[in-house]
Amino acid sequence: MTRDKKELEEVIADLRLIKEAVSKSDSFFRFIDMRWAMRSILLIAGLMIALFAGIFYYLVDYYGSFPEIPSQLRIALFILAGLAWCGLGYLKLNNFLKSSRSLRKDMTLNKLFNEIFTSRLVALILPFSLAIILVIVFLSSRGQIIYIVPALAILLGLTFVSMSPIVHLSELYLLSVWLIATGLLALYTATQIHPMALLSLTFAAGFILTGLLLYLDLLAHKS
Amino acid sequence: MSGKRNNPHSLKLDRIIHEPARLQIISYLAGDARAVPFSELNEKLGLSAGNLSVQLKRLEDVGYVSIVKSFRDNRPLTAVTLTRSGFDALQVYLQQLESIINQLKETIPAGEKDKN
Repeated sequence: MTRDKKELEEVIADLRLIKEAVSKSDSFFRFIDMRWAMRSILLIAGLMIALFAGIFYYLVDYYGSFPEIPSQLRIALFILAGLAWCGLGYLKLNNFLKSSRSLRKDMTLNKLFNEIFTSRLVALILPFSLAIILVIVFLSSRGQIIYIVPALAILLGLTFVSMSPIVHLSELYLLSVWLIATGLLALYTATQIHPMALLSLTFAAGFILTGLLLYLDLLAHKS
Repeated sequence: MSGKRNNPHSLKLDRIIHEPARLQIISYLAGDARAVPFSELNEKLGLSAGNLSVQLKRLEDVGYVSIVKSFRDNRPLTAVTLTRSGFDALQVYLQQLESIINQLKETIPAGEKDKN
């Protein structure tokens, strides 16, 4: 092999390394407006959690305990909560689709899922999801349901910490810190504080604060 | 023009990116997902403020970067981000460069003794 040819092959090898490095920086989330897509969702989610926590708190207070709430009322509230979450899910999907269509006009739901759920994100979310399911099942089976909210807050906080660099949303760090801190606090005070109050302190307040932060960030950029 | 620019196998390089200062800017931005302040680009890339402004304007005109001007602590802040098309253009450019070097390699006769 000639010296020139060898040098060119070295250049090609270097170029391939550069290409690999560049493609590793390629992420769907870095090019879409995550702040715009997430701010309303977080704010509405927080308000919804606070609302349902308030309703359940009032009902438990009124009827004496959770099992004493009429089953029809409980079922109706659970259905309502489920529908509200579905609506929120729809809004989230819609926001992501709108945001991603500013990059690619031909973006479909299928393509969106492929862009979001990359092997990197799935590998990150899967263990946390399994841990969350196992903890919920374990605590329920041991009759320790009062610890579900604190445990969930801590585990979701850890999930969000790991997700932050992938989704390029620095405010997610703050939400993670909030969830972990209030989750730990809730873990030690779970026997003294009403579970609905803990739910409001951890998730509702955390989501509302993060949502407001994202709105404030937008206002700061506009001014 | 844009067709050739977007074709990874074209032997015509994207002149917008090929200019050294602009290639430096795009490469720096590709490695950073956040909005990079103008002052940081100025400092890290060693380009004069005037030259950097001109090159950024050129890149903004073709949609490769987006420039957001705001105020922080009553001081103007200019932040630059690489757009999706800028990122894609860099990937295509690298592919084109590889194709050109591969073609060049083919033109060198095999078996020729090392001159050194």
